[in-house]
Order: sequence, then C-alpha cells, then structure tokens
Amino acid sequence: MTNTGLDPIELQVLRSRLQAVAEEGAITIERTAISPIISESRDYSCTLLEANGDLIVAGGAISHHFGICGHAVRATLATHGESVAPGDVFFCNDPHNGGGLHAQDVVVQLPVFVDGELVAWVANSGHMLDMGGMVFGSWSPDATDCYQEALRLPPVRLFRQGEEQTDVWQIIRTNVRTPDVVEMDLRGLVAGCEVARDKLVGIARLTGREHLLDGIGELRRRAEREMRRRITQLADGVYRYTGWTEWYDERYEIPCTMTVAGDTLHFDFSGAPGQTNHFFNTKPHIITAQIVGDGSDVLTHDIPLSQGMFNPVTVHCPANSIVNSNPPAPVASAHIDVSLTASMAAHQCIMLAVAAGSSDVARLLTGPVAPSAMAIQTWAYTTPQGYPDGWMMLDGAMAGTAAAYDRDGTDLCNFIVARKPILEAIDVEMLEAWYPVLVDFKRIRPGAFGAGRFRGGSGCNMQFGPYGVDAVVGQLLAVREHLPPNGSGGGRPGSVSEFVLRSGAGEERALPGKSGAVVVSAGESIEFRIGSAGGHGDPLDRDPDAVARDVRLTRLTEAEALAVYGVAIVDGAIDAERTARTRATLLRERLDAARPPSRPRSAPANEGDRERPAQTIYPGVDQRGGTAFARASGVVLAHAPDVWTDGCPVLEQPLGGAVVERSYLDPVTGRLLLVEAVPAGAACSVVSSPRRWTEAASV
Amino acid sequence: MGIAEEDESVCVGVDVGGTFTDVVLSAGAQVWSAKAPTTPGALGRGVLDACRLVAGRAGTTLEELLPKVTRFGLGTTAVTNTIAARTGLDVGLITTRGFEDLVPIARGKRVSSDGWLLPPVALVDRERILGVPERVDRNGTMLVELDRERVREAGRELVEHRGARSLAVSFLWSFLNDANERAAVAELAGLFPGVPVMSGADLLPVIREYERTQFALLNAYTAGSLDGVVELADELEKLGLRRPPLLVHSGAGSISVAEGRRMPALLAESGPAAGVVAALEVCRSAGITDAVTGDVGGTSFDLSFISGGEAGRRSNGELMGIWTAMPMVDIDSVGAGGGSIAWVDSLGILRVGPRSAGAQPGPACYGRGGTEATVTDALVVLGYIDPDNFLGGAMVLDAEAARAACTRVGEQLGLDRTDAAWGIWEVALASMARALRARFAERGVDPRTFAMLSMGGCGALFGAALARDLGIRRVLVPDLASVLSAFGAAASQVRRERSRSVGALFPVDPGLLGGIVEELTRAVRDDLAADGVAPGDITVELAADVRFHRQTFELPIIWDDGLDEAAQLRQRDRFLDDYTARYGKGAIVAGAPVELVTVRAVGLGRTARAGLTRVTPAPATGEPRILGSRPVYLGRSSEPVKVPVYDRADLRPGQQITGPALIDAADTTSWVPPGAGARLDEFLTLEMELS
Repeated sequence: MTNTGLDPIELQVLRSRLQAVAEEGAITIERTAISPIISESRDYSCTLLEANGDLIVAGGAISHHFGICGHAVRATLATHGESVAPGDVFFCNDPHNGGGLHAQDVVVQLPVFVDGELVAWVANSGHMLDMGGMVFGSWSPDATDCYQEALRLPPVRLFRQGEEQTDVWQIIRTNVRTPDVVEMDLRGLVAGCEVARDKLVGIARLTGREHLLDGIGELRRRAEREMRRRITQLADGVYRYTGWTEWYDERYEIPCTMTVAGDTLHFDFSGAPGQTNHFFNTKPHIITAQIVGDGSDVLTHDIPLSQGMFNPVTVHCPANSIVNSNPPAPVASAHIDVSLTASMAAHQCIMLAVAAGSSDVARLLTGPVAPSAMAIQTWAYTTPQGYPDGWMMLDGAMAGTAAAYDRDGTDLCNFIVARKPILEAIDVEMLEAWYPVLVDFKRIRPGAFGAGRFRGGSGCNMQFGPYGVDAVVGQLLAVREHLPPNGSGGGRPGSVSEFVLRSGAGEERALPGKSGAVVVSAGESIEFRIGSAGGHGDPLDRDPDAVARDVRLTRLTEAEALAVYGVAIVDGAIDAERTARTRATLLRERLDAARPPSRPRSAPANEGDRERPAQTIYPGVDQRGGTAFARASGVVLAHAPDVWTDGCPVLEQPLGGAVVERSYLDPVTGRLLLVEAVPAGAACSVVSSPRRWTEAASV
Repeated sequence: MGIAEEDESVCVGVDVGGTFTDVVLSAGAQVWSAKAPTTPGALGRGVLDACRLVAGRAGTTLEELLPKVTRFGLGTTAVTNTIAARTGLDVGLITTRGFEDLVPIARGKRVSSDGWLLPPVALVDRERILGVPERVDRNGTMLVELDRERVREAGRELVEHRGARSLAVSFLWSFLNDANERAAVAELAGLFPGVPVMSGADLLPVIREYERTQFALLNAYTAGSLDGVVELADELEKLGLRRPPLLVHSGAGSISVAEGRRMPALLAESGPAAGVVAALEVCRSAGITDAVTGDVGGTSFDLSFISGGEAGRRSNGELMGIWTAMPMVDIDSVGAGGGSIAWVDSLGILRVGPRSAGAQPGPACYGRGGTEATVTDALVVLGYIDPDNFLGGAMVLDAEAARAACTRVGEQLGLDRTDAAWGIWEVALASMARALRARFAERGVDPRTFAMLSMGGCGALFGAALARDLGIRRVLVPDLASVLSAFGAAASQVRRERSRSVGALFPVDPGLLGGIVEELTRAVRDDLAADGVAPGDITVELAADVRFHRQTFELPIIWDDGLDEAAQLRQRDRFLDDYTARYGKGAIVAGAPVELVTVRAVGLGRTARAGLTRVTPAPATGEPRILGSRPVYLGRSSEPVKVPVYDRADLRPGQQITGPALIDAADTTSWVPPGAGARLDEFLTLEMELS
C-alpha cells in the first residue's frame, strides 16, 4: 500500500484507463487524417501530460514525439501562462520555440480542465506534408537559415475558449502548399485531442479529480523508481562513444560521454562543434527525447515510456553548439543527422554499460543502432491541374538494424530491440496509384556490409521513375555517405546510403546523398540503396551454412562469401576443407598487415588474475582482476587502467572520402575485436571504462 | 433457445472446436444439443459421434435422421488449426521480377517478441520465391508481356528442386489486368496437374499487392486442410444425407465443400463467424440493431460488432500472426480470458494476462497442476463460480487450490486473499474494457447506444460489469450460449462476396462503374449457383467502400441507388453524413475529394436454415423460484453477501429478477449486478437492464 491511497489494483485499473484514452486519441488521428504519412505510415502520436507537461502515457508509434510534447506544453505555459482556459487549443511548430522534431511535426495541445482546474494536457503531434518554405515538403538541404525553411509559429491558439481562430488557420493555409491536406490533418490532430480530453474528464468524474491526480503521480513515481533500479544494474563508470555527422566532405564530431553513477545517467556532449548553416542543427530537447525514448526501449522495454524515465537522466549540450542551436540556425533535420548520431552514440554507451553490468536486459544487446543510416526523400510534381503535390518517400527510412549479440539484424527496420515498431511502408501499388511513378524494383539490398558472426540487416533498395508526368523533383536527405555505422564485438561496419540517376540510354550518375532539387525526367529513373548498421563478432566465425543461405538468396556473391567470410562455395555446396584453409589464411594476413599495438602487452597476466571471475569490459573482452583478456583466446590485452584497444595490433583500410575502416585485432589469433569506420586520424570511437576497471589499478 | 423450422426443415448445425464438437438439431419447435470430444486428425469421427448423440436425444438414430435433414451446416477449425499450428504445405511463390522480396519485407511490419522486433511469420520461405519478367501499370495497361517459358522454368525449379508442394502466383496490378497472371496459372496447372495453384487476382482482385499475395499464399498453404471435411461429406452421404453439407466461412455465410476447397483460407474464422451469425439472430429477435458481442474463453476475449442489424466486416486483418486481405466478419481477439494469469510487474502493480494457463495446466482450481492464480480462480474465491457445479457440473473445481493461488498473489502485494481475487477480476475487466473502448473508437461509435451480447461459457459473468464500465445499458445472454456457433452453422445464409478495387474520385465514369457492377453481379450469381442455390433464391446487394482521397480507412456504405452521376453524388453525401456523425463536422474540409475505393457485390442464397422462434410457454405465475444462495463478494474489502441463485431452466418469460442474483444454466452462469433487472424474453434470451 502507498501513502497516496491508491493500491496496486487501483493503479492498474487507472493505467488501463489512461492507456485507453491515449489509444482512443491516436485511433481518432489515424482515422481522420488524410495524408498517407499519418494514416498509412503512422507518423503521429497522442500524448497525455500532467498539468506541468510531465509525460503520463502516450499512444501512436513515434516515441520520439512523446518526449518533445512536454517541451511544447512548457513553452505554451511560459508564453500564455495564466490565460490558458478551457476550450483553448494551442499549436506550435518552431523547434526554436516550443516546437517539435522539425517544423513539419506540428504539436497541437489542448489543456484539460476539471472543476475549473487545469489537470492535464493532451498533445498530439503529426508530420504535415508541407509547412511552406523554399521547397515542397519544407525539408531542403539547401536552406542556410531557419527563415528559408518553413512557416514557423510559436505557441498560438487554434481555438480560444472553443472559438475557432480563423485568422491563425488562414495564416497556415496561406503559407503551405497543400492547404486542404494540411488543414484536414491538423483537424485530425484536434479531433484526437478532443476525444482524449473527453475521456480523461470522464475518468476524473468517475473516480474524483484528486484520486486521478494521486494515481498519475504514483504511476510516475513507480516508473521512476524502476528506471533508477535498472540504472543501478549498469556498471558504474564512464562510457564514451564518438559519432560522426557528414556534410559532403565536412565531418562533424559528435562525442558522447555517459557517466553511470548509482541510479543516474548523465550524457555530456561537450566538444560538439558550434552551430552551422546546415539544416541539421539540433536542440537539447530533441536529443533528450531520443536518448530517453530509445534508451528506455532497452532498459525498460517492458514498461511504457513516461516522465519517470526522464527524471533520472540529465543531458548536457553546450550552448550555441550544433546540438544546442539558436536562430538563425536551420533545423529542418533537427531530429535526423546530428541528433540521430548523438542518440546512437548515447544508446551505444547504454549498451556498453549493460554489457559491463548485471542487467535484467543483458539478453537484448546490439551494436550501434541504425536510424542514422536512413535516407528519406521528399518528391514533388505538378498535377495536371497545375497544383503542386508530392510525397515523402518513407521507404528511404527503412535501414537495416544492427546485429544483436546472438542473432542477425532485421532487414528494413531501424531497431531490432524496441517496445514497438515505428514506420510502415506502403504497398508498391498504393505508391503508384497515388503518385505519378513506376517502380522498377524494390528489394532487400544485397551486399557484404554489416558482416559478422551475426550480420546486420539490410536497408531498402528501390528504383523508380516518373510515369505520366514530365518530371518529379526530389530532395535527397541521406545521413551517411562515407561513414557507415559501426558494428560491435568485431563485427564490421554497415553500409552508407547511395543514389544513382539512370538515363534512358543507360548512363549512370551517382548523386550526392544530400541533394536539393534533383530532377528526374520522364525516361530516367532513380535508384536508392539505404544504409544499414553493423554486424557482431568476427565474420570468420560465422556459421558457413548461414553464409551459404545468403549466397542462395543472392544477398552475397560467392566471391564475397570467400573474401569476407572465408567460406568457399562451389555450385551451392560448402567446401569445408577450403573454408578452413581460407579462414586461417585470412587471419594470418590480417596480423601480417597490421601495425603493432600502441602499447604492446608482452607482460603476462597479473598474478592470479587469470583465475578471477570474468567481467565484461567490451563484448569479447573480459576484465579479470586488473588484467584485460580477449575472451575467445585468453590473450592478455592490457593492465588496468590502460585502454584495452592500445594492446591490439591495428589494421587500417581506406574506405574513400578520407574514411578508414580500422580493426583492433587479437594479437595472437588475428580475430577482430573491434572494428570502426572513422575519419582517418581520428581517435578510437569507443572507450569503455567501468569504474571497477579504472580502480583495479590501485588493487 | 427455441430453434424452429423454416420451410418445414430439419436442421443440423455442428461446430468443431478445439476441445469439443458441438451439435444443435432443430425440428419443428423442438431443439436438442449435444457435445462430443473433438477428434484431432480425424475430424469426421467427432462430428459423427456428436450427431449420433443428438439423434439419440431426439429419440431417433443417425441413419433415420440424416435423410430428413434439409440443412447440414458445419463450422470447422480444420483450416484454423493448420494456420495456428503452422502445419500447412510448403508453398512456392512466383511473382513479378524485381519484387521477390516484398513478402519477406512485409511492408516493413515488424512484430514485438519479448523485447525484439522481428519480421512477422512468413508463409513462404524466401528460397521458394521466384520472379519472372512481366509488368502491368496502374491503368491496367500491359507493359511487359509474360514469358511463358520463364514461368515453366520457375515452376519446375520450385516444385522439382526447392520442394514446393503448392504454388501461388501474384503479380503487380493483376487485379486490374489479370492476363499475365492467368496465363502463368494456366502454364503451371498444365505442368503440375496435382499441385494446387492459387492466384491473387482470381481469388481476391483487390489493390495492395502484399495483402493480396498473402491471401493467395494462405490458400496455397492451407490447400489440403479440408481433406477431412471432404471425407466427412462422403461419409454423411453414405449414411443418407441428401443435401450436401455447407461450410461456414469467415464472412459469416456458407459455401459448399467444393468451393471451400477452392478457397480454403476463407474458412480460417469459421467457428467464430458462425457465432456471429447466431448473435445476429439473437439481436434480430430482441429487436436490437446495434450490439457488441463478447465471448470470454480460456485464453482470449473475442469481440465483434453488429451495427444497423449487420455484422461488422473488414477486408483485411491479422489471422494468427499473418496479415492478409480477406473478406471477414470483424472479430477481435484480446489476450484476456478465464485462464489469464495474474502477476505482479516490476512497478509492483497487479497485472493479468496476456500469459494464459490455457486448458493445460489450466487455472489452479482445475487441479491439473496449475498453481498460478487465474481469473477463473479469482471468480471461485469471490463466489461467482460454484466450484461444485462448474459448466453444469461437468467439472468439480478445487476451491482450496484457487484460494491458495490468490493468497500467493496477495502476499506479493500486501493484500489479503479476497482483495487479491477482487483485484484480479477488476484488472481483467479493465483490460477488456480498454480493448472495447479502442474498438468503439475505431468505429467512431458511442457505446451508450449499443447493447452487449455475452457468449461463451464465461461471457455472462463479465457482460454486465463490462457494460456498466462502458455505459452500455442492456445486456443479452442467449439461451445455450455455449453452443451458439453450432446454431449459427445451421442458421447462416449462403453468402458470397466479390469485390473490385476502383480507386477513382467521385463521380466515377458511369459506364466504367456499370461494367464493374455487372461483372461482379454475374460472378456472384455464378458462385451461388456453384453452391447449389437455385436462381430464384438468389439476391444480390451492392456495397462500396468510400473514403477521403488518400485516407487509409474506408467507410462501407450500402449502395441502394443508381450508378449515374447524380446517384453517385447522393451516395457520396451519405458517406459525408456518416463520416460527420462519427468524427465530427470539424474533421472535414469543405470540398475535399472523396474516393470510391472498392465496389462489392454480396450474393445471398435462400436455403433451409434454422432460426429463433417465439416460444409460448405457460404464462408466468408468481415469483421465480430460488434454487439456493451463494456467498458472493460484491466489492473491495467487504463481507460476502448471500446472493440468490436461480435455475434458468425454471424461469418463464415475464418473470422479473432484481440483482444481485446468479442465474445458473446447464453450461453458463449469468451475473446480475445489484440494482440491475433481468428477465427472459419470448425467445428465452436473458435480458438485463442496468441502472
């Protein structure tokens, strides 16, 4: 029993009711919106928040929305404070002022009053097809400031005490390219707010306002307590993962340092570069929403996201940096390039701390996640009536997941571990029915990327051209062009995204992954190959049967099977003897080609360490006492507090674009222990320093 | 339930369930029912056992009975079991080259499994999918003609080298122009006479290649599942049955065995659909047009909707983890039933389900080795279930085991046994109510205008409590609620449906629309003729799915108007009215284009079938007789109240009972909450009015 008077039964009944409210709001949005982005691909959410903006529960699929809605409500409260009244409906879309992930992800907010008191908010977010600005879809890599990008509104009222604010609606209608679609989608978000409000008020009437508020508070406290408990299962210490964001030949370092201290997590992005005039500047509330949303998808995957999971987490983004920008910084991709790189780095820090600790979720480990491998596009054309129309190509958001520590990655999916799936693609027939295109093929991208004992999933590979119109014009929004996501535990990096424009005559032209205004004319077609995350474990340890199956499915060629996996396949059959020989040769060749360790460790293990219990420092590397061992071979790599990678021979291969694939090898067997794709000359992207390792030095 | 004859008929309805085969026999105003164990692997034996039993109860023998039977209806889980147990045939798929991965990609749909996100279960291994060059565009124009030799090569590779035992063909846009797909099917059928070949364009010509292909695959996968039904039909004929049996399909209608074999996947929801047919009959007799049905089984809570006197339908959905297009009655299954297990989550909060004790080991009180507390155990502890008379005495429950199980849950929560039991019940109700609310929201309808119809052995204990939570005032519990599906199998009309995607904005070219309607109507008439319906007994109705352009969800409308432009605009306005009624005026932008998505022809065949008839028993005199009483807990932390127990068989229409009360029938117990009124109507349906 708790001091609030709500017991474990009443809490569950209340929780069911609140979830039902969010679901009903979400269903209403999905049923009434007309843009396929919302109705078919489900890029929307319905969120219930406490009076101060704390997240209670959410419906819909986009968990990154859930975390930003509180920010929107707090901005609305700061702007309108005392004047917030029953019947008001607020709108905002400026990431620099209360808005969501980017200007297209509008946030509609409705204050819920019971007996004259503000008790809660419903905040619904959805992706609008267009919010004005220089290109259709409001998402241009060519924008250099936020004034070019989109119509931006601070928190304003769509309804004032129930009365529609026609002038605000007219401002929006006037500035967007598809006003009917946007208005109808907006009205869908409002309808979802109203349904959720009515149901919430119904609960308050049934149980009493105080009972409702007590229950909501108690649910928050319990979720927080559990999140803290799970954080204590991580190994205390400091974990650092460095991600990189690209802009043509520019490289932006996004360093994340996570400190686990007791029941708290602190993420520090100190060292991030200053804000730029590229469209991927971001904001702390967006990064925080992604870190907590994705991180809790692992740590508390069995409990719905709520404010309790935000409370033990702090995030530091240095002022005026690329992760904490201010106007005029353009922000159309505020939730994509830099932000997804930052949240991937944070997510991987959590994974490392889980691996090093004794966590309930240790079975759910994977390498760096795939969202930053996506390459969304928006496409526009002119209708026969002369109006602009277009769509967002969400097949471009279908990357391949990282391999887990015990299984291959999932194709056309961004997270293999998560509470629920996010986007769905539409049928080829729906795409062709709605838009003037003909698809040549759509498949799982073949290739040897993401190689590992368990390989990564593959992204979407598709080709289409205009059909029935003279041309379609696209904005290509690839995140990764040279630097693929890394694998884990010796798994190799995944793939970057690629675009190829083909003329009718068969000429090919590779396009930069970030391209504004790409014109594909009748007779031409464009192919995209979406990137993917990395593998886990050394590819030479992969089950040859699994390699043979990938060859049969044409994911791999026989040549790739031999070169990458050391598996010899002749007429579909595995040559076991030649496979063994090839694998041994490849291991030897790695050691021959590698440069020596920066801190060679010829000394034996500390006295007695080899017999001490093993604790993970990094997948495949164990700490026993004050000595770090390669798990598979038992070879000594380092003595505390040195970094274990310093004891590894290092192999570097150029990948193009001044990027290298760098492998840290077991000094005796030649097995891959850690592989990373980094700009040439960059430091190692992973430093895992559980406190027990750094402190083992003094033992 | 009075099952009476229609056209002097003798009707037999059978429902082959997972555990029991139920049978209902009606002749004149008399009705008998029986149950026999289902015989896995030899479906016919259980059916014949049940039929012999019921014949005996009617004072005759099976051999004497069968020649008189004018309607033999069968609901079967044969196909359901094949899908659920994943024991179908190894399927090969031939599709448009360049799109071989669309089925494995599954539209990007990923399913949660214990923290992981994984692709849904596939009906076909990727190694058995081959592409051939061919292409049709969105207008139905042929872009690349089929290369027949490549089809033969692909077929030989699949059947001779990759182990395919049945084949599916599904090409892009084949529902608009099926020339390539038809040609491919013909080649394959000629090449492999013994191998079933299923075509999406032939079976279900609707847009969305993923769902259409899945439907073709599902049929190829379940080809052969009805072999036992074919044997049974032969056996019944030998025993004297003159009219061949009819099978209940997922669309709550019936088809012949031969047609069932042509499209076996249609039978995937046979049993539950038969239940909906019965529910419709019950609602009609009670004068109710809008109702939600709730069937509480051991592992799930199944619910369906009846609106405007028609069963809610959908054109796609998930069947046991497989997403597919299929015309079906809209039945949702929620993981909350009598066997759902109570547990304490990591927040220290009581949860119930979705894990279920099922029938084995079952709830703790079954005494079959289960020790975890389930909803059934809680109901025993709270007094709602009489452990000595469970399912009409079919089973004696171990009340002590139920108490011990609830005590253990209580210890984890700091609650005593009865509070824990109460909590289990309340939490189970809350999750069922949550599912109900979501379904009402999807339809944009107000629960307060609906009645609730409780089905299944346990449904009547939950009906009133759920109804109260949703603001539903009226609850119905039909007679013989536990054999409703068998009754439905005898009561369903022959029903065939053909649909075609149109995908054009209003108004559509009347000539085009007329052609589609004519073609669909002809096809549906042919279907009904194939089921043995005489031309004079056929009626065809038109319906359409309509939505705002590019919306994902359609609203079905009855098309009872002409096809000219003016008539079309009237139909469009009807859609706008319906939409506004559901989602509010604010949800509509003036002038937004409206799309005619699908046209559907529904053919109904008049056949002998069972129906409910009014009974005229001796008029009710005096108060209903009280059998006894049971101590029942009516709330949290309260003392049990002695609640009167009535025998349903004893009640007469017109007699009034005021809750709290329990009404025991042979196979169900109904709970009448405090303050609610209950009475039998003239069809022996128990009706409750909630205050």
